[in-house]
Amino acid sequence: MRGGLSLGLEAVTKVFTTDAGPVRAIDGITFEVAAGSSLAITGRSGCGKSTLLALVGALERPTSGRVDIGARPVSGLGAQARARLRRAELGFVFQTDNLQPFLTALENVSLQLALSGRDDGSERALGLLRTLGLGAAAGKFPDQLSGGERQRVAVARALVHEPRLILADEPTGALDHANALVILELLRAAQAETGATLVVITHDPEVAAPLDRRVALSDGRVIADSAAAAEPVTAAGGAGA
Amino acid sequence: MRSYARRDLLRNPRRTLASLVGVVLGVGLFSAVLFFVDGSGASMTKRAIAPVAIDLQRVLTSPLGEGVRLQQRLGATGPLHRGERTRVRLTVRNLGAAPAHEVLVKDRLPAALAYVARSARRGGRRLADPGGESPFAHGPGHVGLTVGTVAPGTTVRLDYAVRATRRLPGAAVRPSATISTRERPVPERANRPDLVPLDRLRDRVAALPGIAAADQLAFADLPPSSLQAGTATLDRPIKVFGFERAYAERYPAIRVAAGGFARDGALLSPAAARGLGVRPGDHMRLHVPGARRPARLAVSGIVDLSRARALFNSREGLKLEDFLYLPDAIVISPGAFRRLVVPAFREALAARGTALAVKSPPTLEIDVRLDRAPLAADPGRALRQTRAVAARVRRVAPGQDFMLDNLSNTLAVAEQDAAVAKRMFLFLGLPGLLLAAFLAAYSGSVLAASQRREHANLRLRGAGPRQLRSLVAYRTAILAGAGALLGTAAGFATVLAILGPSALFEAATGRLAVSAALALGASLVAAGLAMFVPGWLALRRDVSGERRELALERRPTARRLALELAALVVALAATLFAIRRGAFDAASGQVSTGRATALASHTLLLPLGVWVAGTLLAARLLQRAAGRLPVTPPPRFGPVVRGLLARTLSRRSRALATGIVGVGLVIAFGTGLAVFAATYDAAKAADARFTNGSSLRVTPSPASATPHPAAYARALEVPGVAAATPVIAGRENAVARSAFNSDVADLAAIDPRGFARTAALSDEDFPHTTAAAALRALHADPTAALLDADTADALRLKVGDRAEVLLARGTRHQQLRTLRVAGVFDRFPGFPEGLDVVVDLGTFRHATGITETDFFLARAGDPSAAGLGAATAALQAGPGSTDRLHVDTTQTTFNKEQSSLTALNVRGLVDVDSVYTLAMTAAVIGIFIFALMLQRRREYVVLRAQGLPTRELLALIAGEATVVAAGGLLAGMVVGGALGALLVKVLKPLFILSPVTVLPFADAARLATLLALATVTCALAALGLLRRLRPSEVLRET
Repeated sequence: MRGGLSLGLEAVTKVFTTDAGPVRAIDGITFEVAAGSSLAITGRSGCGKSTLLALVGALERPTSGRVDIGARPVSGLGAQARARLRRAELGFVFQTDNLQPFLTALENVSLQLALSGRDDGSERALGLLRTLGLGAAAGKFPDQLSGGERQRVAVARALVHEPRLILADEPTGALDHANALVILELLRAAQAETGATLVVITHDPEVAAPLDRRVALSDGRVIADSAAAAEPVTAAGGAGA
Repeated sequence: MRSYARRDLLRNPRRTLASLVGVVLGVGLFSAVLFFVDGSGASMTKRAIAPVAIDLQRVLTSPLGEGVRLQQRLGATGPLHRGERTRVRLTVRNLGAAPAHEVLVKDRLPAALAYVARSARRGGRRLADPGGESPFAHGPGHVGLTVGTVAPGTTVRLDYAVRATRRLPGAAVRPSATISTRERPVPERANRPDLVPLDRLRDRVAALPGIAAADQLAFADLPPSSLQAGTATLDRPIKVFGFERAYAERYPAIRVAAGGFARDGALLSPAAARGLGVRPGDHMRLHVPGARRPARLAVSGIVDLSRARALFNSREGLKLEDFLYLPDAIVISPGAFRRLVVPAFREALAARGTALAVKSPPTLEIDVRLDRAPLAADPGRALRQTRAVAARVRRVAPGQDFMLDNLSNTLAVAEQDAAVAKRMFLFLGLPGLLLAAFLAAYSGSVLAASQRREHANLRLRGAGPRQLRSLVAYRTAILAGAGALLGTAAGFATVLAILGPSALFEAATGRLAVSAALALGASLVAAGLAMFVPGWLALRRDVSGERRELALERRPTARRLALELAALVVALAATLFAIRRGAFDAASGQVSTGRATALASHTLLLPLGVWVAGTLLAARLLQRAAGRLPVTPPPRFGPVVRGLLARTLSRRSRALATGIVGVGLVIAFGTGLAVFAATYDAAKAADARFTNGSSLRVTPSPASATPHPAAYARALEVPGVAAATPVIAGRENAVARSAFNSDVADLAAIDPRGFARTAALSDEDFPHTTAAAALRALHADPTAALLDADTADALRLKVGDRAEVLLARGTRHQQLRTLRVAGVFDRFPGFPEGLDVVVDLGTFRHATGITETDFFLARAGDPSAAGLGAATAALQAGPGSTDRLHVDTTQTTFNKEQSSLTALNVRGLVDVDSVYTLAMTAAVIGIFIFALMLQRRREYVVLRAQGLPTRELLALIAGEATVVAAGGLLAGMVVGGALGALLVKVLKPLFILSPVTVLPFADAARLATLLALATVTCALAALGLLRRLRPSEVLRET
């Protein structure tokens, strides 16, 4: 067990420049997530959930403020360093599977192992697929799999290199209820098994409910935090739980 | 939808540019070829007619006077009623000085008149009706009445009755009788007008519109001993010319070397002056057969006629335009010719009693120079103009002469060559149109793929199929229209840059406009369809269809492979069939000899077939090879970039094959053109060397007082000249005889060893042996001779046989020798018009005593234009400073002797093609990489999100582009080599010698380098795009 990474955001702001002028997608958010815990970020469409995930997933740099993953401040890192961090420590599950169409299910999973420098010839990728009930589909290409199977392969890809921070962006958004529950269960089980930190973006309260903590966003600000009572969260702009 | 399409194109500039660039380049190439055809075709007239010595000639058929003449009269003067009879009276008069033999009068009546049986009379005595028909037109051949010999000054009267078979107006009854004689076998119509004196004919012709000048020219051949000065007698045949000073000024090849024209004087050729030992101011005597006493003439000057084609070109049908030069000549005025020569010939005929006593009567003619400035640039239009002028000239006092329309004859050949050139050039331009269509389809499919999501969104918002079709149609119309416009403008600009404004604008504006319209129209259709169809098909597909299209290529390529293999086999089989049928063996052409280049147009399709089918097959083979690329077996993935590259190449080989086909087609076209251009240059240089004999040909001026023995060759070995060798040669200067046959021959005497070192010899010209072996055989045996294969056939001689050869025929040096046939040749360098016999120079000199050399062949150390120039300058500064030497180089010969087809700027066309090939090479790679960026953007974003560094992503893209470039290069080079070789074979008739295919490694390296540069440049551009690729895009699913 590698354990999870804590997450810290301090007065994080993200501004996008558009034809209509600057748009403040994230507006001075500050909170911390304990290592090994799970967090659901909820909110309506356009509230800044995905932008927040991009910042905590080291996909984007904030316009201002500070993002720490574990003890490392990632907001000041360059593209290469952030890429290194992503392939070694982070695991992503997206709304759609985003599998590489020219790779088999097994190759899609083992590619992540190769990227993280752990392509050691072990049966880990295949074992994980078997665990997820995809042993027979390992040699199939994404277009030969059902939607649920593809998303399970995507989960396997996100978990195969034992990330310490798992980030899921609406992971059940494109699935039916049954498959959604399966995926959610898989993520929670993996988190429990590896001790990784889990951050899930969702607008579905049913998905958010089982997680340790729930943060609600609106217009780029935190408007509610389930952990506020036990562990106060400072939300810039005065919003508190 | 129109507005949406416009905004879509404007707001996606990269996508729009990628779609446009291919169309612009393809259309640019196609239109450039069309403009090039116009521009260079326009210069064909000028080039074709430049060597024509005399534009029009009216040659008198009765130079010595009227001769026999036929008058025809009809008894009735008014209209004839049906059944009415009248008499036809025919009067034959001999107005000449000699009898007319075998006089034949023929009168084939029109359908409205019928001969009245037993009505024909001669001098009042009834003539028999052969077979019951008119004696003036009887039998199946409508044979006429043989009158027999008509003595000078006598008249024969004939008449017969006719009956009208229907009512005939008076004017409808015209003379229909003709007369011919043994002396003048061409039938002449009755009632020809009175002869117009030559000077009046000249004045009337000169006054016609379109005529620049008309001059009298008279000449006659005189036997040996016709010229004397003091005790010296010229014992060779001479030619006496009669023309004015103005004529000499009009034809600059007539060069007065000393003195000048004088009213009662005469100019002598240098050889004649030397033979008589006279100089200007001296006197001589001219004996003309039939003259009572010789004419005493003052030598007023020396004139060099050795290059005067107007004077020595044959006027006889079989040898028309042959340069039959006689070194001994005298020039007098036309008046003196009329006074001294014509009456004497007339007397000679009268005295001997038969016209055949004088072998060839004098020739009297009007030489006409057309105003060439208004002639259209296009040979076809120019031909119609010259024919119109010729018709006007012919209408002036007709019936007393025949006309040679040399200019129209030449233009008729040039017109055929121009038609061949257009077909050839269009063939070379057709790939441009195909490439434009391919690039348009390629970028169109890229565009269609990238717009699927947009179209799906529009569908979601309620856009119907018709609206989406309109959207694709608007977008296609804008892109194809803009591409066609920009491409046509680019094509025009390219040709303007390569040909220059003067050459391009020589073409008629209307013609250029037609080409522009054709380029626009054809490109709009080709590019429009190529762009619209993929978009339209994409709209027609349902979701599962789209998925199928996006699905990986897992079907075997065998079926496609078999199809392309079959296409290639068909193209190759057709090529072999064409070779066996001799389709590539058409004769080469030359305007100056009246031969158009024969080019089987259908054979032009063969290289096109090989190009397309070959490239497709090569790409398919490479696709198959890519499908078998080894990948790391599971559970390992292997090195990330290499693993991704191998898997994407092997599993998405269709995209790879499309890229390879694009690059391969362009590279194959470029390589094929490079092979053709290199071979063309080498072949034309070889042709020029063959025609010239060597890189330099030095001809001493006949006016030179310096002797030119064989040893003079050493004096010509100046710096820049590696070797020189003497040649004695002449037209009809020998007679070759065997037991079976005998014929007048053209003979050359050479120094075999020097000739082997100097001349442009080719083993191909010596059947069953080599050039070196043939010359060794000639050198080894003083009695040896080499024979032209046709001459050997005519004389039924083979190697080893003996033949009698009369050397120096028609001179006092002539000698009969028995020679052994030591070898046979098909062609001999330096004699493009043919040569019959080659003997050793020593043998010839020993037999005849002739030491003067006609010309020397010299080989320049450096065959480049600069080297030739330097060698020519050294020759003129060296031996040429004291002795007038005329130096022909391969360059000057090339300009002079080419066909109007090869006179075309083929190299320029190849340059046009090359410019576009290079640009299209870069464009195909650019479109390929752009397509990757467009179609696989999502994959790359995910990989970036997964942590793949930008440089590794770039390596993946560059790797794929490199494989496409390398595969396309390999396929293109192989197919291009074959295409070039085939192209050379098809265009073989352009050359005299069989062209040897040249592989231009430098050009190939240049193409490969450019492809590599284009790949690197496009990869760097991709790097810029990749850097702007935001991995967070993966979080946006809309």
